[in-house]
Amino acid sequence: MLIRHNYTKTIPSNEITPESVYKERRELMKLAASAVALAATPLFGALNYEREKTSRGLKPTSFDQITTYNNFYEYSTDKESPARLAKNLKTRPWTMSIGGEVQKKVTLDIDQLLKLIPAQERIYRFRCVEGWSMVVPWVGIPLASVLKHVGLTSKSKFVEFQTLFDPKQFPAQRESFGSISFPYREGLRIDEAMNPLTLLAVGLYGKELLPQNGAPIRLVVPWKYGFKSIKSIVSITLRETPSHTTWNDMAPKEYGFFANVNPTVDHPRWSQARERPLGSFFKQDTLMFNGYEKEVAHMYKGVNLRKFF
Amino acid sequence: MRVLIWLGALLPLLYAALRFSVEFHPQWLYDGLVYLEGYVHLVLTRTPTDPLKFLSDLVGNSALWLLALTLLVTPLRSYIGINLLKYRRLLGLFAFFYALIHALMFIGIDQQFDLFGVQHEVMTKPFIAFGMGAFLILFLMALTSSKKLFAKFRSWHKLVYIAVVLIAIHYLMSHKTITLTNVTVVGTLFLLLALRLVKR
Ligand code: HEM
Repeated sequence: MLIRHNYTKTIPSNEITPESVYKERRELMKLAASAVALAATPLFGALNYEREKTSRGLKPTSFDQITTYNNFYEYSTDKESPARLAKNLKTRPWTMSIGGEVQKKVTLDIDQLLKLIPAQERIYRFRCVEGWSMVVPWVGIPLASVLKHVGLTSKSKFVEFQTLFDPKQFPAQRESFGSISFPYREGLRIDEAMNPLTLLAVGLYGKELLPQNGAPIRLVVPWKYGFKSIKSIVSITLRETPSHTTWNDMAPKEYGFFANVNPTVDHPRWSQARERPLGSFFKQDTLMFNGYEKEVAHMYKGVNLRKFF
Repeated sequence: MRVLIWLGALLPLLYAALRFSVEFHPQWLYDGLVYLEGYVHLVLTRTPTDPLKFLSDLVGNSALWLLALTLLVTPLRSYIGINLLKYRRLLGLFAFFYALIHALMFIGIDQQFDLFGVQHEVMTKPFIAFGMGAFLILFLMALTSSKKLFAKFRSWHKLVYIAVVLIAIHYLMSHKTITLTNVTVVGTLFLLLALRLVKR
């Protein structure tokens, strides 16, 4: 409980909808109109999106690797199985409800949402708490745009996300032993949720997400360990009090609420100083905030990241 | 029998070679693997996505199972009357061989031969300490496994009980959650220890 307390030290209410986010979105919409890119393969549903102009020197991991090495405990605890088991996830129609401390509660159909807010490509590093990493060319919409759409209030201090609970479709949700508790939940502080980097992804490599990657809509928070980036989201709830997060609830000593990528703070069982890029025989150094220090460090000024890991 | 054990014990290496040479598979091998339909085929024709983890887990699990087989020798003899005592040392040495690769991967690749780094990891992480403890015991047993030394250090080999317990904990801690499979594996190890302890 002591730990939780610190998270409430959030940004003042008047900063909840930073103008920069708004401006950025206007810019992006203009861009989107001029540079609509169409991906080639119609099989998985090509997406309309605006291409990322610079990859910041990041080389995306192959589509094959990204789509066959997945932690998706609703299917299995091993990483190769989800690709096999997830084939028939029913991703349309799919609605996502947004409720709690918002100005207007809504239930959005995902296709509607995509018409409302244009998708864009974001090439991000992705670092798993287990020590492996990849680079993913996501396609998605900024979470901030969605939250602005429903309107925040002075009480919107935390965001809680929830994965679909459907034991008919998710085999591990039928079992009582050996996994985590379902439905999977994750959470962010409101300033983290409004950060321009935070994305609701609907695709990768220009195509709609495959089920094993969290179709049809998932969170991507590139400066945090991968388990924060919750998959197959059915609800987003704005809260005044800290959100539940599955791993933090289960093992608070091992998985923090923030779970920011931090090479100087080890997991109790393994070091986080270096990482294994998928497909590589060599480890590489892990970067503070996974390389997004410039964009996110300001949110944690004065926070003891060793204690609030 | 000796040949069989050699072949069996080297299977994990063969498997690794198969997986890492996917791009160079000759046509006949490719065609052969395509014959194995479905999931098996999918796995065998795919280079491991996370190669270091793949190798480390492969040799770690091989060490564990070879050690289990080593422990099986005594109960096999006392309960069923099959005497494989002659081959116990070979099995044990193979277990150590894989544990050695596993440990060297950690020391060489994870810690880049920085012994202070290794020391730091052992001191700060019980998970690593348990693994290291078990490894040192296996190391000691391997060193003293020749006929002459075994006669002298026989009682030291009782340490294997501690090693197995350490390995069981290490194995369980290496996963983020504990699954039925994990429990079964540990159950098997403990059953083997119990079988040896009960009937003497
Ligand atoms: C020098 C001592 C040792 C060290 C530093 C060590 C280190 C490790 C590490 C880092 C992992 C992987 C954790 C992860 O990232 O998921 C692991 C897993 C494992 N280790 Fe060890 N280990 C040691 C000794 C041993 C020994 C002696 C055995 C068995 C005879 C063993 C068996 C295993 C097994 C079975 C796994 C799990 C593989 C899986 O996930 O399927 N280790 N060890």
